[in-house]
Parts: sequence; structure tokens; C-alpha cells
Amino acid sequence: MTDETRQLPAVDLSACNGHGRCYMTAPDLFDCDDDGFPVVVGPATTDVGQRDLQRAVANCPEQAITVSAG
Amino acid sequence: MTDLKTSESPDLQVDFDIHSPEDVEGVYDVYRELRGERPVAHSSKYGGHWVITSYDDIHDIVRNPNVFSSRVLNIPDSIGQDGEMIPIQIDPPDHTQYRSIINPLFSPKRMRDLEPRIRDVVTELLDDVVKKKKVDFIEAFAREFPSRVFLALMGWNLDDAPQLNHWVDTMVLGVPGASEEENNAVREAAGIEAYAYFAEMIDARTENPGDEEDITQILMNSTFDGRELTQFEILNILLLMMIGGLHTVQGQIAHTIIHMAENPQDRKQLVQNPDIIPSAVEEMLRYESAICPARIATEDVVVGEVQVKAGERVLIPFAAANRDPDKFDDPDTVDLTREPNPHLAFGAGNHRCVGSHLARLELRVAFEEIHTRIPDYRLDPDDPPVRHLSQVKGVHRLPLIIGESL
Repeated sequence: MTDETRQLPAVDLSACNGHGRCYMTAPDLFDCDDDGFPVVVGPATTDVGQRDLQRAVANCPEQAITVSAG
Repeated sequence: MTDLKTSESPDLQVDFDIHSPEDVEGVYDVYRELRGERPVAHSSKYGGHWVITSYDDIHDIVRNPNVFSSRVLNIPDSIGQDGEMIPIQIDPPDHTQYRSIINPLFSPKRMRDLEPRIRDVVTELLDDVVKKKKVDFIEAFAREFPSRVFLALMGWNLDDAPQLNHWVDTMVLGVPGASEEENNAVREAAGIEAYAYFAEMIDARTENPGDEEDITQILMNSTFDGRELTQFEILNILLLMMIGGLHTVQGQIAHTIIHMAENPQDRKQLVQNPDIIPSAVEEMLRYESAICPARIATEDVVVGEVQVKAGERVLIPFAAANRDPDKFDDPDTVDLTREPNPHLAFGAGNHRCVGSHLARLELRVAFEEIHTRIPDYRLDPDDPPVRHLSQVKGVHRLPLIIGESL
């Protein structure tokens, strides 16, 4: 069963090139590794988190982020 | 059979010249006109090359390095480098290995640790600026700041900044108006001097290893496929870092300061609400994107509705992509809180600017400190800024009156 209030981001690392726009825009949802590539922290569970997640998706210059029900 | 247009089609021909001193003030009008009429146009300049001006086409090109190789990055073909600049002129799979060496050097975490040092450099330069009524902001700040940061990262002498800037300016700008032969000679001479300087820095380390954490030493200790990097490779990595790290940040600071001087309502936002500075940095990167690289097609490929043939060169101004109204609402207006803003100022695809995290940090800290200490400044109506084109758009002079506002 999925919970509609949880949105889980996923980063396609074959498309990602480490711009860092996601962890700048939504630092609660994305961290970065030692090379500057993103690491998903967890799902967005609040309105603010979900808005940040949508911004991260829209600002990614590689269109590498997708969202599923977490 | 195909009836696609080609580089021979008469109605695709333009005389666009990326190095033209005449086009510098109106270049965004030129891009708008091209995008509207011939988004894939063919210029007769420099032996013929394509000019692409839509976001989607440029985005596709940079994300397809197998078809669009960056082996040919410059138009004309050389800025005076010997061999390929690494890693930007290298294609996969070698590119991936070089990037795995270089990415960690400019990672966000490493950059975060640098912030206090970067702020010190900014503060020290501004200590002198605030004492004056009028400065050339290029000389007083915009040129000096990224050079000092670069030299500190490399572990080299900060007093060498003027030499490095001279080499970068010569290689990037050449001598506008001079013949291609003259330009090649001048650029090559600057390149040879830069390589000799880098070689000296490396030789000094061979005798007497420096700080394990500085970039010179890390490169000397790095391996590619289990072997040490050759001196030739290290020289071509250092050359690219110097070319990529100095003139670009200088221009971005200068273009932003010009905008803020001319638009006090935007400047006030930065002064009163520094929290928007990161977003303002992104918007100014979109609005004034310096870099205009080239690629060479490795096979016949269709771009837009045009047939590009193997061996043909394409020029892809990121500044044109970032003003495309199909991607950005009201693209010729600055909106410091623009959302979304997936600009391509640092490119995209495998050659995404490796220094982007450093550049963002430098820009943020600079604009925080400048607007804390100098809330008012304006251009000098009798002595306007001098901008230039080339594949790295920038600003030569920026006379600024301190303590006054429009």
C-alpha cells in the first residue's frame, strides 16, 4: 500500500551530471556524496517538502529526477 | 531521399561572428532574431560553422557527446593549447576517468570548507574599494578575486595573478580585428608561457612536495588506469582550470554589478534580503551566460529540421539557450526569484562545468559582502563599461561610482 502524502524522489544517475540544483533547492530531501552527486535522503511528507521537491524536479538541467508515491 | 536543408542552403546563411566587437551590445537581439527565423543557422565565418539558438537543440547537443564531440571546442579551432584541454576536449570513456579525478577537487563539500577563506579574500579587496569614490571594479575586485582564489587552491603565489590573467585574456580574446594567423601566433605564445609556468610549479613540487591538500599536489598524486598522470596531462588539466576559473567569474561578477547599478530596485532586494542571493546568482547566471562552446559532429545528424553532416562544427551559445522564450517566461527580464530556472550557464551533459560549485560559492559570497558594505553604487555616465564577446563573454572595464545610487 502506498501513502499519497509521501512523495519519494529518485535520481537517474545515468542522466545526472552533478549540477547540485536538487540539494541546493531541497536540502531536506537530497544530500550530496563526496563527488557532488545527489543522494536521496527520504520522501517528502509535508506540503513544504512536496513543494521543494517539485522545484527540484523543475530546476534540474538534466531532467533526471522522478517522483513516485513513497 | 531527404529534402532537409543543409549547410549549403542559401536561406540558412548568416554572417554571425562570435568574436565581433560590433555585436557585443546587441548580441541578445541577434540571438532572438536567429532563434525566431533560423534556430539552426549556418555562419560563413571562420571556415563555416552552425549557430544553434534554441534551448532544446542546445540541450540535446550537450547531452549527446558521442554524436557531438567536444574535441573541437573552439572557433577558430585553437586558443593556443598544445593538444587537448583535459577533460573538456576529451570524449567518453577517457573523459569519465578524468572527471572522477577532478570532480572531488571541486565538490560541494570541499567548497563549503573553503567559504571562510573565500570570504577573507573578498573582505580584504573590499576594504580598499570602500575607501574610494570611483573605481574600475574589474581591476579593484572582479579580476583579482577569482585569481586569488584560484592561486590559493593550486598552492601557488598570489602575486602571480597578473601573469595568469594576461595569459587567460590573450587566449580567450586573442587580438580582436587581427588576422587569424596573427591571433593563432599570439594565443600560442601565451599558451607556451602558461605551460612553462605550470611546469615550473610542478618541478618545484617534485623537489619539495607542498601541501598534500592543494590541487597541484593532488593531481601529481592521482592515477589514471593505475598509472600516474603524465606531466603533459597535468599541464592540460591546469590550463583548463585556469581558462575556466578566472575570466568567467570576473565576467559574471561584472555583468551582475552592471545590472544592479542600473536597476536599484533589484539591488535593494539584495541589500534588504540577502536570503535571495543564491536565487539571484542563478538568475544572473541565466541572464548573462558567458560561455559559448562548440562541438563537432561525428556523424550525419538532424538538428531541428536541418541536416548537419559529419565533420561540421556547431556553435552553441548558452546565452541563447537561456533567453529562449519557449523555456523561460519573459526571458529578457531579470526576476531574482525566478522559478523554475533550469538554466544552462554551466552547460549540461557530461561536460557540465566542473567548477560550478566553486563559482556559485564565489558569486554568493561576493554579492553578500558587496551589498552589505556597499549598498549604493552606480555606473559613471561619462565612462560606461566596456564589454566584449568571444567564446567567453565578459567585461574589460567597469568604472563604478561608490556610495551613490541612480
